[in-house]
Amino acid sequence: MLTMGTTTGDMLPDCIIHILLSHLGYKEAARMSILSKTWLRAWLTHPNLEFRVYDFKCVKIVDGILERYRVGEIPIEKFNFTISATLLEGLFMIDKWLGVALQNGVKYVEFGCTDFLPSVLLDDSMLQTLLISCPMIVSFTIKHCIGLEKIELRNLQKIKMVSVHMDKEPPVEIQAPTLEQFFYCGLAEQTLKLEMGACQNLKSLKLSCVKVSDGFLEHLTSGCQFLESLMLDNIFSKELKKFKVCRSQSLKKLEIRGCNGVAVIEAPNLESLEYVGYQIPVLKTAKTFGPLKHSRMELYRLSNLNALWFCKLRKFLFNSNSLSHITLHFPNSIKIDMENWDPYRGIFAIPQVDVLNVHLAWPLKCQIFVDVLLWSCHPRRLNLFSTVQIITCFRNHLMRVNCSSPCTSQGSKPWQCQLKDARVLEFYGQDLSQKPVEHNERSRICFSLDWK
Amino acid sequence: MASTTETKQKKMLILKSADNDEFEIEESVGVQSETIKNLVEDGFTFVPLPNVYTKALIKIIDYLKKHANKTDSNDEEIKTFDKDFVNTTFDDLFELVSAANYLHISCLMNMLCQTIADRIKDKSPEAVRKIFHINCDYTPEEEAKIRKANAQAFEGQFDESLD
Repeated sequence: MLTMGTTTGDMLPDCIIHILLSHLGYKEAARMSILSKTWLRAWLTHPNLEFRVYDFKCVKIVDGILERYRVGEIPIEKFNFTISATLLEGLFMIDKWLGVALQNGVKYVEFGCTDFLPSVLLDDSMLQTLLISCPMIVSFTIKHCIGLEKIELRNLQKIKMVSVHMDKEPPVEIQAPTLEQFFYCGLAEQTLKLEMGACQNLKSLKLSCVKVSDGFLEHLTSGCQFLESLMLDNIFSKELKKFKVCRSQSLKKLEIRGCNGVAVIEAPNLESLEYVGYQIPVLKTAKTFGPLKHSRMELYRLSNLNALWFCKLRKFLFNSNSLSHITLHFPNSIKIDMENWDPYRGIFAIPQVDVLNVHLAWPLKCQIFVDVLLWSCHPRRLNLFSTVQIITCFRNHLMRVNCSSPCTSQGSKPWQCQLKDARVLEFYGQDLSQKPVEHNERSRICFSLDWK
Repeated sequence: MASTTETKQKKMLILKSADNDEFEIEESVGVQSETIKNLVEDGFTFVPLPNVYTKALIKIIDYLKKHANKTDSNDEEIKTFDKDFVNTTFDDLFELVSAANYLHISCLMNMLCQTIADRIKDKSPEAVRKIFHINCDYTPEEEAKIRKANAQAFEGQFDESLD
């Protein structure tokens, strides 16, 4: 037992409490101000200031605190503040606050900025001066600059990577035989003007959020004989009904996301394909059965389903010949109309699929949907995300294959003859007998299907 | 032979605790304390420490001896020593921090303050009050006002334990 006597807790001298508090973070120190008036005094002269300034209220509080430090000439050791770049009231105060910190002897200043910095003003001659003074640059990135009429890159002997990320979309002209990677990201407000001459070494091209004119993509990619990777992300075009992606022999990796129009893909050596969109793409590589190893497609269908849609889907899957992962989203209430559909057509060449995910938000004619879905492809795994009603109907329809020999019975569908075995792997849903079923209840069932 | 000469040349100091115990230490060990250093420079070899009790003084002398022999090779050893040194009750730490403050041993002061700060930083104000034996001198209205002024600082869950 120590002979504390005079040095118990609140008897710790003010100066020690003051030092102690400076070892706490600003927020923790603020909490200690509730302990007693001694601690409040120590807090009011805390030498390490830490502020996160996100709104006008914060600006006022921080300004008040610094004013108190200035008037009281309270020493400041560390000054750490983070400010939102969009908060103009705060940005105007930075000079004043730093002035107070410096006046009061600050030793460490840390300044952070959240959100994006306001645009940087850079005009054409400034850019050209910059480029001329460093002709050996390997990578060039330009982001959120205003004031440029044109981005012109030429005479850069070592350039490998160019990345342009602009809010205003000035024309871009590149002459760079050594260039290997090019990224462009815009706001899709103006039609992209991009001239890429003599970029025969380009291997990777990524365009994001741009508006293009008809024929632009073909024109752009036709000059790049060694293009290996192409990513098109949110490419818009007003009249675009169909767009040819690439006839390149070299293309190995293709990613298309949220582009309007139907993508017509001609790339015989394609190895990886990722597609997210509303239209089923047309794949023309199939005749040779290319080396496609990895593929993933996510399709959104907002309007009614008909035989033509399933035909296109089946054709795409057939041509891809290796599609591993398909996700179909039906977020709206849709009808299914299978007029003129012959379930026996082409039943010997139904494409195989590794995983098929189906998201059905609204009820529809379940049996016909199962029939036509399993006419378009034979998935090894089928995951259904839907209401308990639809899941139950799906399950009843699918599992019937196990209990009889449906092939011999009247009115059986071709898929029922081709399916050897169907098993439920997982089921997440409410017990039907106990609860009334909510319309939009999200439940999930996973089937494992074994095909002949 | 060399070591004998050294021993002969070593100047010694006597420290006297608040409970009148005397300790003899080498001057080179003692002068890590600014307070002792100032007295030594003024020619004192007998140093009364009316604010430092025996138990704390023994620990502090240990600390000074360890840190006086700091080399590159015993870095790990000193770290382990320091870790054990601060692994004690809050009341012991308060006594030590008062002594370190009085003796002006800045590295020890830093270590002790950081230890205490780390151990209280997630605790509720009520728990910290008990640990520091603080009698709250706010009126309920004043307390509510301070809570409101720093509302953000009081958000979240706090540790109520007292160790």
